Amino acid sequence: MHDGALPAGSAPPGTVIRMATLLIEQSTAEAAPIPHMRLSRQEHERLRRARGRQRALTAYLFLLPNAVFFTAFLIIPIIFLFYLTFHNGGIITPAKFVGLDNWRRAWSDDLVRTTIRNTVYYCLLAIPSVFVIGMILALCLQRIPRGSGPFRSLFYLPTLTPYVTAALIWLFIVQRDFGALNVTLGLFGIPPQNWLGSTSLVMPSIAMLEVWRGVGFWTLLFLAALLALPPELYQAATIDGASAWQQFRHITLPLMRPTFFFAVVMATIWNLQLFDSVSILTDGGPSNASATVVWYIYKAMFQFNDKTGFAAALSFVLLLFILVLTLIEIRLLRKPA
Amino acid sequence: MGKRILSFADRRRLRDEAVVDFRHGFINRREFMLRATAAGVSAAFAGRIADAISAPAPMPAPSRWAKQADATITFIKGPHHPDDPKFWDTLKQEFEASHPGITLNPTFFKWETMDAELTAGYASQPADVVYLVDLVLAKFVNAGQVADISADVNAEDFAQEKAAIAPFTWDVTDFGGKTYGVGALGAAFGIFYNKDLLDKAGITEFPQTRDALVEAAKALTTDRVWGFQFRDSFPNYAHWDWLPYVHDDGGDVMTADLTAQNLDPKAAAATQYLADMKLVHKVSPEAGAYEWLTGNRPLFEAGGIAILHDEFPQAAVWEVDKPVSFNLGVAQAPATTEGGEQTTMGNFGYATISEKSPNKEAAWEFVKWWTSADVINPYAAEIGLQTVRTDSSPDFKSKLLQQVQTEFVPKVQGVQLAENYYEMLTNIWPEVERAYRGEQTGEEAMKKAGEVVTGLLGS
Repeated sequence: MHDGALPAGSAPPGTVIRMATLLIEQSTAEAAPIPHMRLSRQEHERLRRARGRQRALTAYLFLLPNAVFFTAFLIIPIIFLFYLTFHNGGIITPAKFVGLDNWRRAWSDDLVRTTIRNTVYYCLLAIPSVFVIGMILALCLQRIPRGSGPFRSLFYLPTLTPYVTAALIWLFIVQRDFGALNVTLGLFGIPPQNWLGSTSLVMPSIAMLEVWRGVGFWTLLFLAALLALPPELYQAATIDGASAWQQFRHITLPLMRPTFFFAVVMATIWNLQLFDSVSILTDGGPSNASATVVWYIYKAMFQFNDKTGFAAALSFVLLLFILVLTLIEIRLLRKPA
Repeated sequence: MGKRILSFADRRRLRDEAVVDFRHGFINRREFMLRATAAGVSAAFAGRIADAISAPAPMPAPSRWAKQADATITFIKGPHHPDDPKFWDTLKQEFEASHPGITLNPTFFKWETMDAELTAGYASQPADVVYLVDLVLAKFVNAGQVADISADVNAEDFAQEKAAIAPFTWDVTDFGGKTYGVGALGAAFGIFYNKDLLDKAGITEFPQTRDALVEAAKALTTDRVWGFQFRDSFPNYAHWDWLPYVHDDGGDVMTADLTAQNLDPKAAAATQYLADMKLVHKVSPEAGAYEWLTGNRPLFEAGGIAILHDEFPQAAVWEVDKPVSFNLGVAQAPATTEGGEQTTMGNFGYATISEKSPNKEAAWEFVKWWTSADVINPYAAEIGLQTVRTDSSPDFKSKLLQQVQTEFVPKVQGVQLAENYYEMLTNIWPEVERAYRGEQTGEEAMKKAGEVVTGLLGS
């Protein structure tokens, strides 16, 4: 080691420690001459790999707890669910192989088509409504220079309300005789409506409930995005004589594209899984007018006899449906601004 | 390498990092931890050896999770009363006092998530004793999750008790000649009426036929009062109000042997009759107008409904807990014609033992104890439910409940014990609703409903 270089062949496994010891000793030894050190290319490569492995191992160790839960509660159940799609039973009865029967039924069952139609109809009602209302509220809040906190809390409050409570509150709101909705309509001379009992009004009623519950969340999301927009662009636009609408149309909307992209994808995923309010308010009625895909999956899985395989197949249909819709949305929305 | 002389800065850094060094006055933390651990482990090990030599090993302290008695029985049911957990604290003490060596662990599922909770329970480690309502009994029996208790039920020491429990319950729990449960509690469903409104309309006796009911409802209906109201949506259990009319006409979801549908044509007239109440006679609100708990009940309490189909345990509320401001009466659904049959709809629950229970003997002791007259009657009186015993009845505070127990419960024609029964009800209900809205006749509705049942019988 006359020149400080370690012979490549003699590097023991603890080379890093040795090197470190040597460096510490050299740096701490008083009046000791600093030796000129040079590592061979192979030694450099070995050290780089060892360090890389150590970093990777550390990362994996940190990820391990989460990976265990992810595998136990998501990956394994999904694999098991896929296995169930080819069987009858499997939860409280032994699984019996039935080939593609469950997939065939999922394809041909009239109620499946009804539930998909209802779910899409609900999404078309709820998602644009909640976005428009959320955006309007966010724009209003953005213009309040001071004291907007209570309003933000107020708008967010329904989002914090548990589903069951929200649904029960909604039952009173849409009550035929003394419900706030019909009483308000009565002020304008509109006769009381049968909100949850009419096949044509039940889905809009449920969509209204979900908009009421969700609007606070989307308002805050849009508000956060609005507040992050660079003010100098608006100042420049004002100097150039752009109207408020032009500023909104040509600055705000394009700059908020990433937020809208996130919002549309997430809202689609969440709303396609509509279940709680339907289960509590209508149980799919009247005449299956509010039956949704997840409602049917729940019924088939837990309330109907021996339909776990069919429910599993339906779950996969929903998964594929969400996946396809999300991919379409990504393709449509991910254009450069 | 010779002995190093540390600079002041190095000493300070090492002092910050280190604890003690035998060479330079310091050792690093890692070394210290290794030595300390080694010393600690050695000391502990030495202590154990010393203990083992000096004295016999002490008895291990019982874990709080360990079985606290010879057998621990877990019992699960849905809550029948807001204070049900409190009632079960008392029952637990009484049971454990009379059965030394058996610990009772009463638990509850939520009615709204009953199916999911029971399915999850049976898929893993179910409670030893499960209270199963008739709607789901067949499903879990056929899945092999409920233990056959024929030997216990038919044993000599249970003969007297068996005779004191209503025969229909033994029919219900009989699957292929084997018995899977003991009847415990139930709720009967029927009619409440506002006597004051009937008196005011000159109706001195509750109508006994369908035609008489129509006339009475017409006489009672005003711009502020609905003459007659019944539940019409599935989440409100509307089928319980529809089925007595179907039963009275000799119809049901399936034939008695559960091999064919029995709705088409027998249930058509009953369906049309109820639809006409809304559409033709206009004595009932339009379909879906009023939700059961937030619509029907408050309206009835306020005198806005004269005759209401509801569940009889509500009598305990309207007569005792929060008495209504008018005289109240109870009745069965009227017969189709004079002297015709009048049945009562009922929904009953059974004490069952799980097939996976490791403590079946102790579980049977609990089932016997809970369904005995001395225990079930006072409990039923507290929660306001009916019992299925024929030798005695609960001492209800509500006189109306007493009337239901003695007059109507013996006439109960309940649900049919078929594994697809709930799915049948779910799938036929949209057709009934369409008839209630006037989108099809009762006959057309039952034709489609019959096809639904036939399809499910074949599946």
